[in-house]
Amino acid sequence: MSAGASAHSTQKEPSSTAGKQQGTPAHSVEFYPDEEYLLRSLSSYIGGALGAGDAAMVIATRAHRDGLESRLNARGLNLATARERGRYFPLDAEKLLEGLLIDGHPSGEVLERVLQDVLSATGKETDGGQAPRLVAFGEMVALLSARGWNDAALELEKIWNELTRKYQFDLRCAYPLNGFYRESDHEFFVKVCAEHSELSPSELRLAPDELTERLKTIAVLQERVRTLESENALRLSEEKFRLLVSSVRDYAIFILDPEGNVISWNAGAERIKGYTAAEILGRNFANFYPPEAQAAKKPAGELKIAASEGRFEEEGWRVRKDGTQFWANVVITALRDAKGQLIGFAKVTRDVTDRAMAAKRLQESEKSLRRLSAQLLKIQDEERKRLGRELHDSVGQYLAALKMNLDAMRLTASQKELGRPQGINESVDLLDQCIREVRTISYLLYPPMLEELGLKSAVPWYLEGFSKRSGIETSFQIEPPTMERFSRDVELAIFRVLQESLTNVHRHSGSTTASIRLETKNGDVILEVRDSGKGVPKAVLENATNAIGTHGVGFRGMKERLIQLGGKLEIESGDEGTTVRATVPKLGETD
Amino acid sequence: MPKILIVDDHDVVRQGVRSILQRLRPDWEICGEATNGREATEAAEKFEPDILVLDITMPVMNGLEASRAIMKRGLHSRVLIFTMHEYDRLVDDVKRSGAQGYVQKSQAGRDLIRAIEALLAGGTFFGNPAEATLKESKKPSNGVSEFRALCWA
Repeated sequence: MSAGASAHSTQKEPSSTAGKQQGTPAHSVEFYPDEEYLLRSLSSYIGGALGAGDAAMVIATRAHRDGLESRLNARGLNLATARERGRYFPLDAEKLLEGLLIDGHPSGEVLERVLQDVLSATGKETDGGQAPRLVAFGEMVALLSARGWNDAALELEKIWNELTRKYQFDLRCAYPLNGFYRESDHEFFVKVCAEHSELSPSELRLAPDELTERLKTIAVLQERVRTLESENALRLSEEKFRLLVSSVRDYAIFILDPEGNVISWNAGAERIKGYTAAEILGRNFANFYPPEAQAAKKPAGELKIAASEGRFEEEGWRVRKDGTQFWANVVITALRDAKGQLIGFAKVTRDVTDRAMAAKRLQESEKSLRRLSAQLLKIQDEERKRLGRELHDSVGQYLAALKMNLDAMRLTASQKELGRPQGINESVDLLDQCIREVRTISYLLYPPMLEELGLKSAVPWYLEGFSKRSGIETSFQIEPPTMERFSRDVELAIFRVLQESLTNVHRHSGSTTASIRLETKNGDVILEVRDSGKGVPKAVLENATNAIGTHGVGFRGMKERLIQLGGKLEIESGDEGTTVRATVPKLGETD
Repeated sequence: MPKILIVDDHDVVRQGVRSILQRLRPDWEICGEATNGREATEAAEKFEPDILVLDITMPVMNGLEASRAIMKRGLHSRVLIFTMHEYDRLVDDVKRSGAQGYVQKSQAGRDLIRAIEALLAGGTFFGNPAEATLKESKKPSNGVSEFRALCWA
């Protein structure tokens, strides 16, 4: 359908009976296809009467009165004044109808009594001259019919006929046309028509006596209404769609002809690309690409792919009107007519610069976090090493000197001089213990034999000490037994994972044994620490592999260490215990 | 009167050695002190001590290097390495440096005088491993001294 077509141009203008000569009261009926039609027709009918100085009575539903009044107000008619001057009498159809019904039948007496004042004040000659003529609108009949009380509706039509004759006023009734779709409604329809002097739409007047003709006309009319309704619906949905597309601001949505020239442009396109529709319509979409991409004939290439595959999608740099670039997500879809002929392309472009930048920033911050954690681990290692050396070389020396002094005293002093020689002996023993303790701590902080002799010696040394301290029985397997040396970082990482894992076994697992296996395989060094304890809680395991949490920091530290070297940490945990497996390439990558 | 040179970068250690020697062998002369290997070789040339009690880990030049330097110069001084360290290859390292013996600092009270006497008599002193092992097995501890290979580079 044509975009500019009006909904109403195909409809017949409703007829108005207002302004008829007095003495020939008309009782017309209108079958309306939709509310819009009714309100337009009604406002023309009532508005015409009021405009001509006549009085108007409207017995309608609340919705219809409101619709009518807002239209009349829009026409510039002052309804409040018209009411004050006895020109406009609005009544509620539903309430009035309730009052009229006696045992399901409308009472003419009641109706006449209710309307007495209005009816007698109009349409008659008075001393002051001509009283205003009255035109009335009513739809109580339609309400009765809608309830299925067609007989009552017809009774009411007859009552109205009597009243119009008695009081000389024009009356229009209205029924929704969709109340007559069923074949069983036809008889009622014909009867309704018979009660009226005029029918609207006027087609219904054809062959008034021929029932079949009349029914045929109704059928045609109804078909027309249906077509109109569905056309309306389609037009509305197309209109809505067009509005939607044109108002979308987050996406540039536009259409290209088969050569890539822009033939439609929406608000989003204007916002994202900076061109107004007037500036860009008719120009080639290659303008949106950076010069390099244009030189490489990328735009045409993309259309070619979209034409052959139906669709092309990519993310890349595009250029705004002001020359700035943005990172775009682009989808080009080929448009084909019913015969399959290419008629153009739909292009949807989204500015995802922020997202791309955020992803980049996230990547960078992850990288920097990784660098930081590598640095922290390195500092930690150096600090431990320094502390260890300090303890060994400084505190240790003082202790050794202290012991020498004590020894010297013990060896030279006579028992008498000392008084309690066992006191010195005990002190020497305590001092020996202290010296050993300091040495243990310093070596655990940074085992000298790791650098001196490698994992092959340092691991069994550590296990022996660990078993003694913790009471946990350890077993050690090494493959090959003559394991070679690895880089300092690799050896230290493996050693620290061993320390950390065994600390976990000791503190958390409740296991009384731990088996350790060290092997080289396919260029990797693999350390496996297996316990028979109660397993690692799921939450700790998840924390260990994902975000920073209060638990699993030890696991994270191990993991970081290994990642730095291109390795990995695997943890399997269940009811039968936990296995921690550290894998590092022999030639650990270092930053 | 035997002349002894004490070499250690820690004052307290030199004090300790001096205190043991003065108490137990007041007849021995402590001819001087040095705080690193270079000073030690200079002092050895100057004072011509009979015995150098020489620490290993020292700044500038370590004790093993100093021992080598002294041997190279053909001085008659004999060298007793006096160290915190205990590790498998220590004896080899000490011997290779030309020194005639070693004593662990923690065993100074027991071994120092014996070792100096042994060296003065023209012999060597490399501890008594059998005795050490026995002592450790009788007195298990949570320390590290029982382990074989302990050393700072």
